[in-house]
This record gives sequence, structure tokens and C-alpha cells, in this order.
Amino acid sequence: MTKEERITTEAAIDRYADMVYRLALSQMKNKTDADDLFQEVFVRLVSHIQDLESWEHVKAWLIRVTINCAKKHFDQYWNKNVDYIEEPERISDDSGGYEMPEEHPVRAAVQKLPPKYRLVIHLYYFEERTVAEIAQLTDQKESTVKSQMHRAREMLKDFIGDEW
Amino acid sequence: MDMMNQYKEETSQIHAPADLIQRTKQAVQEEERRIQQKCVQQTAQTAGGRQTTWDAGRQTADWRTMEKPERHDDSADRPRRRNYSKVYKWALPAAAAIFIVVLINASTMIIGRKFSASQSDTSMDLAAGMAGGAEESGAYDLAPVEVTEEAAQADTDGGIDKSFADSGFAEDSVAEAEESVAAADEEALDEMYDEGATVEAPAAAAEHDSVDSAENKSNISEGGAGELTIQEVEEKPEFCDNKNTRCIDSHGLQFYVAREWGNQWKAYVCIDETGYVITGSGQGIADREAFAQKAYELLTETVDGIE
Repeated sequence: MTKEERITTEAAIDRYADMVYRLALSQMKNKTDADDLFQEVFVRLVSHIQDLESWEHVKAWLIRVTINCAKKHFDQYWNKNVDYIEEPERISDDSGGYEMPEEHPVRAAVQKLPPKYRLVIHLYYFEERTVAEIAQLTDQKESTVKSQMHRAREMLKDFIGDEW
Repeated sequence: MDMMNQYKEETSQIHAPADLIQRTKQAVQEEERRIQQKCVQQTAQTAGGRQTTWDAGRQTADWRTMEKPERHDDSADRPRRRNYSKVYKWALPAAAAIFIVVLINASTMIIGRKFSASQSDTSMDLAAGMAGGAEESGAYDLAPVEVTEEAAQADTDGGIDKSFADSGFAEDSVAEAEESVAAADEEALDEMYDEGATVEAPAAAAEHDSVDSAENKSNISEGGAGELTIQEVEEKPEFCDNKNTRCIDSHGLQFYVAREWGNQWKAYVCIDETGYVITGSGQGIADREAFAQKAYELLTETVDGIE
């Protein structure tokens, strides 16, 4: 990463596509919704890119907007009351194949958590954000984030066992 | 920690699909074009048509720094608005003050009317010259309706009731009674007097006293023409200006005839710059003309040069 690299939307896509996609997957119920969320986030970035001064700023902005868009999606009546009946989630990897849940048991267990627990787990363990940063990104108190993480761990223990 | 590392490893294997990235980039380009067109339209609308540049690599801040539409300068409206608020500030207290003044005026008018009504009550009694047991019945201090009630209870004849009933004073207010007395003809007044209503009339007594004052007094005869007395006076007595005083022309002489309480009559006449007051009483005097006639007869008997 060089400072001379100009901050553009396309450059942001190249840089943070995987991050946004993983976060979108952790929030949405299915892949299709995750794809829509991914696209929506970067389209929104077009009108705000000039306000962002650094790549860290861009990254934080992308995480925050992804969370907000996911929340907005869940607040809609249709999404509140409609559940999808579909095959197990298939995620593409570099080879183009699909990932089965049994290949990623921990991730499958995390996907069973409620969206807000999934989020804190993902941001804490994968994005390696601090509790303060997570609180700021999710617009919550630090105590709330801590309690959510505690509950998420408890639930994962039930899913996976005491190894978590 | 193992699970945490495993989660990281599993998640790191997830990548955004290439087709998704491609589609997203196309959507981003379309969005950029749309914004650019919007900027061009906005700059074309603004005065001067500022030229905007669009950097394909990076969206410049031209459209961000573009001047916003000028706000309508409403500073001219502000003083007007301020004046309105000033008007409203003192309008309410002024309205309240006006309302209070109107209330005070209305109350004083009401009080004044009552006061004048009470005064006219006494003057009405004086003008009517009601006869009767005023001291017994206490009707002097009462309104006509009250007089009626008091007289009915008191040890006096019921003439007051009848008189009021006949003349219609029973239900009238004091002011109306005064007007009815003024408008009544002499016969109605005589009927009231005949009923024997007696009311002490200090004003009438004062008039009587004024007639009997030392300045005017000059008894010429007494008892002439029945119960008539004649007195020479220097000035015209005040009873001539009373409401119940009538000017009667008898034998070419002008008699100012007034009836007082009871059956008391009084007349004034001026002959050759000399004034005479004739007083008398008697049941034989029916009206003013009759008394004027008797007064004339008395004059002819007592005063030289009158035929």
C-alpha cells in the first residue's frame, strides 16, 4: 500500500472486496443477499469516496456501511417474516468450487449465531478489531459488545463444544 | 485460540467471486456517470455555467465544491417580521387596558343610572305631591311599588294601591313613574290627589316656605272667597316653575295655578307689576280653572282696579 495510490472506488474494490464480501456473508442469510449487499456498498462508496482521506478511513467506512445496510435489510418487513428454504450455503473459493459446511465447521457454527453475535465474532476474531473499535463501528457501548461476545462464545460452546 | 485460528483460516478461504467484482465495477461506473451528468445539469442551471471537470480515475471534488443554490435572501423580511412581533407585544396589553376602561365606564354608567334613578324617585314623589300618611307608612323613602306594599300593610286607606293601579305605577320603575306623571293629564293627577295619598314633600314644603318668606310676604286678606288668602309678593314664587303648575287664563289675567298636598291650592298672578299669591283650600275647588276663578273673585274684592 502506497500513499501515492489514489483513492478511487475501483481501487477500493480491488483492495477490500474480500473483506466486504466476508462481512456481508456473515450478516446475510444467503449468498444472493450477500452479493446484493456487496454491490450496494461499493455503489454507495462512489458518492462518498472524495470524503475519505486514507485507506484506513475507507476500510472503516466500508465496514460501517456494510453493517448498516445489512441492518436496514433485516428491518424490512419481508426479510423479517420470510425465511429462505435453500440448500446449504455454497461459497466459492479460489478453485471455483463450493465449500460444504462440514469443511468449515467452526464457520458453520458461527453462522448459526444471531446476526449481531456473528458480527462481533467476525470483527473481533477475523478482522482483529478491539472492543472499542467494534463498539464504535456498531454504534454500541463497549459493555454491550462484551456481553454479546460472551453470549456468542457460550452459544458456540453449545454448538462446537468446550474447545472454543 | 485454536478455534479462533481455525475460524480465521476458514474465513480467509472465502473470496469475492470474480463475476461479482466485475458486475460491481460496472455498477460503480454507471453510478459515476450518473453523478457526472447530474453535476453537468446543475452547473448548466446555475448562473455563469461553471465548467466542471471529471476525472475518470478519481472523482474530483468539483461537484462537491460546486456552489450551492443561492438561498433566498429573506433579510428584507426580517425587519417586517420584527415589526410584527413588536406590534403583537404591545397590542395585547393595549387591548387589555381598553377592555378594563370599557368595564369601568360601563360600571360607572350603571351606578350613575341607579343613583339618578333614586334621585328621580324622590323628585317624582315631590312632583306628584302624593298625600298620605308618609310618616306612618314610610312610603316617602320607598319606590312606588314599595309604597304600595307598605301602604297595604300600614294603617292607611288603600288609596295608594288603587292610585297606583289606576295610573299604572305599580309595575313601573321610578323613572317611568316620573314620566307618566309628567305626561298624565290634569284629571289623572287630580284623581291621585283625591285618593288622599300623603307624602311628606320637603321640597314642596320648601316652596311653601319660600312663598311665606319675609321678602315676599304681604298678606292682603285671609279667608276671602271662602278659604282663600291673598298675599302680595315682590318676586315670582318658585312654584310657578313646577311641573304641576299650569298657566290659566281667567278674565284676561294669567294665573299660575298649582295644587299642593291635600286640597291646598296656590296661584300667582301679576297685575300692574305687582304680584299676588292666592292660596286656598276647599272641597269646592274641582280644578285649576275653578281655583283661578275664585282667585279672580278674590282679587276683584281686595285689589283696586280689577273688575
